[in-house]
Amino acid sequence: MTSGFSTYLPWVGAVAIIVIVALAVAVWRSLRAREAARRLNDTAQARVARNERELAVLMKSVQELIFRTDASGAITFVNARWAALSGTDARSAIGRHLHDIVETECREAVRALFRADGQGGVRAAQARVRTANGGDLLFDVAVVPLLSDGTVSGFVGSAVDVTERWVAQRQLQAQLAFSAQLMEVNPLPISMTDTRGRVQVVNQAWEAYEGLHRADVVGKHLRDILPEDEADIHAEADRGIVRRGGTTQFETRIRHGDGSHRDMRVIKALVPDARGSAGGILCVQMDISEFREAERATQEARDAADEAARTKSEFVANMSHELRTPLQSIIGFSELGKLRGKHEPRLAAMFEDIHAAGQRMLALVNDLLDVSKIDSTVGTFHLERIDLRGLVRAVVREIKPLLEAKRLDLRLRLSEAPLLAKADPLRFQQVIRNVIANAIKFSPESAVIHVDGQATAAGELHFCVRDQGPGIPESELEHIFDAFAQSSTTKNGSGGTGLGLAICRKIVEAHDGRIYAEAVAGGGAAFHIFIPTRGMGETVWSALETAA
Amino acid sequence: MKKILIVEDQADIRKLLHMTMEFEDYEIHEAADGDTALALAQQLLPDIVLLDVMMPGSLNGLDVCRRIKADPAMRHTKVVMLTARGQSGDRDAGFAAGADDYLVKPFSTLLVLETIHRIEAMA
Repeated sequence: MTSGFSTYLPWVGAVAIIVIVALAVAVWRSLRAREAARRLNDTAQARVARNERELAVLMKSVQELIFRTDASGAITFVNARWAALSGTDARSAIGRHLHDIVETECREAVRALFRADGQGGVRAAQARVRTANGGDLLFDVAVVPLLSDGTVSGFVGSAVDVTERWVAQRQLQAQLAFSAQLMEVNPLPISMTDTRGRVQVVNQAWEAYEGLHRADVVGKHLRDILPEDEADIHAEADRGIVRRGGTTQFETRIRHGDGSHRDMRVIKALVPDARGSAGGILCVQMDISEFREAERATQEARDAADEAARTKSEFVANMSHELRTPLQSIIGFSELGKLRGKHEPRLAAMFEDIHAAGQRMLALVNDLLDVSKIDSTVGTFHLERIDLRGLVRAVVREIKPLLEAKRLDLRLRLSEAPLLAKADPLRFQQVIRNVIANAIKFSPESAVIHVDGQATAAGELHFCVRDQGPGIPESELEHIFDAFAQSSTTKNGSGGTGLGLAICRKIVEAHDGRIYAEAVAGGGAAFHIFIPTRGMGETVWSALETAA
Repeated sequence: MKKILIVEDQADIRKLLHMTMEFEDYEIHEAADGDTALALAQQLLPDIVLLDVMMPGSLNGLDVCRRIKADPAMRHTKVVMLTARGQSGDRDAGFAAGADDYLVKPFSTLLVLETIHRIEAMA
């Protein structure tokens, strides 16, 4: 038996090993298949997760609000944009209806998006939403019904924030309305034509001016509504402006709507269209007839005034000439009588009186002529840039004999620096001579006369002549510059014509300066003369003007 | 004796000038307008002409002065213009016409004598 058992034993072992191997292979195979399946499963799950993540990111990143609703329009899903727009969590949107969220006036339109009866396809509406902080947002809303088995099971949709565009549009509309109003209320006739001369827009002033109604002219060619010559003027100007661009201005005489002719200033500008090419021509007309008329009137008045001044100065010149001839006889014969009547003292004295009266009358005639000349011909002043110190010194030198006759002490004190001004040398000397001569005339014997000349901080040249004479009462300080006025304290025996200071003032004022008198404490009078200094620039300018 | 021609349309001024010089050693002639003056001057060939500027007739004082100065026969003749117009422009016109001196009316008779003596001294 043992031997039999022993005989079977290797077989049993072999079979067992085979079975074990076969089992092992089977198990190994099964394990490998399960592993592959799990791996597939994992991969698929990862892909789904990735897709979901990507979709979620996409949903988050789109600028549109995306939503889904059930068949009644109640929101079942919104993307993250909801939070950004409303400031509330996306979950708070669930279950709400869009038409409850939008402003009243768009409620009906929004409700219509979710009607159940309609067919498939996109439905659109515009909706305004008030945000939590009180601002307005405008959305373009689009909705697509989801159909299952032919009935609407829900909706998907999106809402785009078009607020910026809407605001810009509103601003543009306001701007356009403002422009239109600006044009309408403008009192100048304004019209806009296309580049071929067809009227596009006119304003009220244009209608009133041309006597035409806009309904009758818009779309028509200018040459069909305006008189031929006026249309030609516009056509020519338009051709020029289309060629050159920019603006153009010209003056012309145009027939008014009421038939009268008016002087017009016309301003035209090329208006570009949206593509930047010539879109039309804006034309503004300004009626300048009244200006022109006023100009003509002013010119005529000026001419008349010039003529009057010329006539007057001519008259005075003639008068002066006519008076000189008899004065020649009076002065000449009285002089001869004086010389030859030496042995008859009483006769000689009479001739002396006649001669003195003649001389006085001559002085009057000369001063009158001078006044008239200054009045009518300030323009003949020969202004030049000059150091006034030299002019003053020359006058003082020339007047010396008069000083010596009364043993007067003239103390001249002039600035070290040049006293430059634009002045007529002869006329300025006439003023200085007159004022110093007055001081000499009214000074007592052996008195002192001060003559000062300095530049002031205010940019003026100041000359002062001070005497120790009887002075001038306060009330007469201004009056003495009037023609034929003389101070009451010096009137008798002054021997003046009463025109000297009037002439001085005219001359100083022709230099844009001023002259006035002042009472000096302790007696005497002071005359102040101010002459403006001129900057180099102004001198050059004046020189250029003279050259022109 | 020097010959003096007085040319002046105003009779009293002619008389004044005449009287001014009557005690001097002059042969005095008178004319009342430019044309007469020129004719007289050409005939007399005076040494001195006292010549008014504004006078009636076809020739004024400046015309007469120019013609006297242009006449070789009167090369020695001195002309003193007498005028009521003292502006520098008028003075220049007088000298441009060839005048030797210029007196503005109304003049002193002493000044007339002084001027004549000065001109004589120059000659």
